[in-house]
Amino acid sequence: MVRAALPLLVLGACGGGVNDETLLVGLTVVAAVLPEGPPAPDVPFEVQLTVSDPDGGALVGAWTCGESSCSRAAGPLSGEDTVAFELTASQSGVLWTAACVAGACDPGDLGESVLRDPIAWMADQPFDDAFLASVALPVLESTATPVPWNPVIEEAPEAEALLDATPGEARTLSFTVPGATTARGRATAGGFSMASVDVASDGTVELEWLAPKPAGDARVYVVFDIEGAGTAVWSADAQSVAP
Amino acid sequence: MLTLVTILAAAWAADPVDPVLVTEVAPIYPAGALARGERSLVLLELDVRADGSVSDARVVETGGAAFDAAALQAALNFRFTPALDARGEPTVAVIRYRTVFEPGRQPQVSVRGQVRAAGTREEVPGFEVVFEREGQRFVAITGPDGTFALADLAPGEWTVSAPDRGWRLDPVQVTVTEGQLTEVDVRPVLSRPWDSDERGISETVVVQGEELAPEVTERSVSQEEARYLPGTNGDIVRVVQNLPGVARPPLNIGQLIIRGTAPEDSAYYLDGARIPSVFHFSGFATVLVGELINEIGFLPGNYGVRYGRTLGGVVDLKVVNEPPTRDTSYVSVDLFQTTAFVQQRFANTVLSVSGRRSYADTFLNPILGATSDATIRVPRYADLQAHLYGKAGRGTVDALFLLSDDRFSVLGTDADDVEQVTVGLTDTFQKFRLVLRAPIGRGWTHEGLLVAGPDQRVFDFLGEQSYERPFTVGVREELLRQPAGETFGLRTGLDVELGSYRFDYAISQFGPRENADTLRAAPAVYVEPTIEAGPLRVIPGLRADAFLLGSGYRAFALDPRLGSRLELGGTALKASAGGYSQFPTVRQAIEQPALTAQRSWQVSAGLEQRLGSGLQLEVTGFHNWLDDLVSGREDAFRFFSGPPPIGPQDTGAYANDGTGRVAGVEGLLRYADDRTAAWLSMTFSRSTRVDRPGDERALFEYDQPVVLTGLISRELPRRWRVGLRARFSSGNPYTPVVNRFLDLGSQTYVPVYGDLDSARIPPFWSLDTRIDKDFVYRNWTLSTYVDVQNTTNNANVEVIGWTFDYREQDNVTSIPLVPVFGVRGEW
Repeated sequence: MVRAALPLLVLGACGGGVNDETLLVGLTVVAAVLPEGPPAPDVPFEVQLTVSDPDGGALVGAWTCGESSCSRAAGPLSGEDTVAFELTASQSGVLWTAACVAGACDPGDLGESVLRDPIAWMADQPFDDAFLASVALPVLESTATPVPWNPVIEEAPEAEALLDATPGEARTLSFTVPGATTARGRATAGGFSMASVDVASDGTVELEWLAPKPAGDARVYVVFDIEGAGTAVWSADAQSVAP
Repeated sequence: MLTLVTILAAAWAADPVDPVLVTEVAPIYPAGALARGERSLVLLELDVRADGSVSDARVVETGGAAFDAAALQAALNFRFTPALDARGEPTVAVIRYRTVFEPGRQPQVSVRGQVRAAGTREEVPGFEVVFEREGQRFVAITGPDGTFALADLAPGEWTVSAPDRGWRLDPVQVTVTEGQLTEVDVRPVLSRPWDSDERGISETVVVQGEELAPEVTERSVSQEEARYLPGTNGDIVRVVQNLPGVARPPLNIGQLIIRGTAPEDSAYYLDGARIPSVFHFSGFATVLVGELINEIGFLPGNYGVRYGRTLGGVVDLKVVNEPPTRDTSYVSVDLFQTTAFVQQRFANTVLSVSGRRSYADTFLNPILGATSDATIRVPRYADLQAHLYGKAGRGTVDALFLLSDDRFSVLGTDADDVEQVTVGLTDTFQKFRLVLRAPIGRGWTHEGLLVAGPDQRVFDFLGEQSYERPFTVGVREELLRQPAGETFGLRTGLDVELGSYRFDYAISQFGPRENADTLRAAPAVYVEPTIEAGPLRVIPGLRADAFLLGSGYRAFALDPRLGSRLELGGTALKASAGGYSQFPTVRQAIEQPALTAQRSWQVSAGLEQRLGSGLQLEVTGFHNWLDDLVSGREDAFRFFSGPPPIGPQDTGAYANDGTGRVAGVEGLLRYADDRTAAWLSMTFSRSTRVDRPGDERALFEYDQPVVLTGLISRELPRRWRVGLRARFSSGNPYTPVVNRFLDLGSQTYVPVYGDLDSARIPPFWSLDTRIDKDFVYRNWTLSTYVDVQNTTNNANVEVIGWTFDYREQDNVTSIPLVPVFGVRGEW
């Protein structure tokens, strides 16, 4: 009934919290990138995961399941926020990634039933102990892969661009990423004014970054997507200092 | 004219000296009766004071209303010699006096006038108008039309007043000139407006069961109670939301959740013809003004065979069809809307035109537009009614046109900065309804009903649009024979809905496109005999329904029903059982032609008990078994058929796999006296379902085990009225979110749900207050009120929500304290 849906409609229309979405809280898989684009059937391919791990020591895994078996790989982050795994896939499906707080769980120990239905597994995990993410995994028979599959970051701010800011200061980050359609800024402190920004047809895009308030350090990620295709990630350390 | 005087001595005087008439005032012959040469005789009983004046007079044997009034008026102006008791002291006496009216010499009428109530201008019969000056006092009594006359009044200044008998009349001076007729227009103010007898007005809106069928549940509420009920903004249909069996809808929107069923499973009727809804979608108002409603049929279950095609409750608005006693107009303005109503009598015909429009959008939209890129167009509604009815031969003709229009939208700008509708909703319908009622002899009455008109529901979302556009013609032919003292009565009828149904769900984000354009027909026949045996009334009934689509879909249903009622003095016992059917929606039937009608078997038993002066208790127990409920396709677009479920969705194909049970007890304790209306409404129920064989039993989405509503409204002196309503209800069940995962492609978090409907929203409670004050002027009445919902500013959780990553609950709470001011001018 139309009337029943009205309140939900209003609520949906009024939904706010756009800035909140850009703040990374706890262990989070930020992006999964296929550096070589979609794999061919049963040919090993690499997946790079970008993971925000504020406490350190997280265990990370990735897997995909076909009709007969699952391919998976897992390991620690080792102090970096990116990790690469090699997998194989026989058909298009879902690429799952999981991250566990050290000592809470281990993606390398998940049984095949969990790999095939990780959502049910998540229902039993404490909210802050594990993080599950999914992305479509296309497996292409032909070589007609869109080129480029992943966007290429041609121009980006200097690595020091986000240092020495004053708390709450807004800085504009300018990028040129031809082919990208959207840019999403994420940060472990502070944040971005918008959760997602459209990239202009010439590949330019500007994001407004807000420095941590109160003063502190942060790790900042900007993820570029090509709609229906791949992903590229830019990251930098950020810092705000009390004047 | 010959006057015959008979004096009967009062019985208690031991050695009485009877009063003797010394000043006789000739009665004024009723004008029309004199012209027709009518004769009459009226026997009066007079109370004579110790000073010989008449303190009161009563009709013992009537001679007709007009003659009675003339005789009473004359007698109140008599003077007697005082009656004397045994000691020779003046005393009171009661005598009888006979007035004979015969055409002849008429007294010279000095003063003529009419008494009409201030504000309403209604004629006031039986009103005493007192003419006084030094040493002289005459009383005029108004006749049935409120007119009066006094004869042979001496020239000079007279003071006109009235005794304090529920009316207040400030004394006025009148000059009587010899040989001339003085016209006097008297406008007293009703000083005790709660006493409807003295006001001579009886407005009643009845919320009750169908006239003939002995529904176990039958509830009535006066229009006064409904109009002044706190929390309803004076909307009389919303009173139903306070009755037992009705759960509280989220956000207090205008939905009816009856006995645990979903709002879309209840049906709304206009004089027996189905209409899309009775409420505008904001829930603030009914789709037609209250003055058009004579009766609200509220049937939570176990209703007669006149109603079908639904599993839930029924609300049938019965439109006014009795001629009013006066022409009425009013304009009402409050925080949300303006309503106008004009009613005019023409011979045997009554015409009324009314309409309403909300206007929060008018002043809020420019403000919102100036402060935000995404402009929320505040919901607005409007309706219009034209109603014409009157006598036609031995029967009546009743025509009504009804238009309802609701709109809501959120505007945004596209890449080129052009404003477009981001989210929009339009819900309109137009209905023309014609009712012909006529007796056809031997106690039978025929009712023919036609309702025709289009509906339109349009949903816009980010440049795409979905719509439903049914056009329905409803025809009902019914023959009714009331038992009226005989053993048997009968109701039999044909109930047909015909039309087309077009829908197009074309919003890509909600799923693959679906559309259809089909003809549909839903014919039904029903028969319902009534058997009366002393205090017992038994009504068996049978209803046969069919549902046919142009796509070839066919479904049938046969519903036997039985009702009974036993009257035992101040106690009434009632019991009913029966089958009820609801066909699949057009969309479901097209996609899955194997679907059959959903079924409900309902039993209920009840008790009505008068507990003393003004106190009444009604208790009803019920149990509904639901079967063949349609399950599946919850992932598909269902905006028009209800909100998407919060929790895991059944994505399987449509099938009659669902079952359910609803059981409960409803109670209503009511108290009413001439100034107070109070009730306590109680509902205790539990509703559970199994969507697919093998699934665990879960709660229905709208299950509320406890719903309590207490209210009191009391009339105070000087036309003040205060009202208080307290409500408590269990929160709706919901499926909790226990975790989440991130869809990296869309960058949205997807909830991981716990057990189905295993959590419940915190209980709701609220206190609503209302204060009314009326100001009565000579020709019109100004009514003012302030209706404060959620007086305690309680932050009740209405809808469960979550932050974007499901880390925390981000719930929608009830509207804060909102005082709604309103004024209404009626003339």
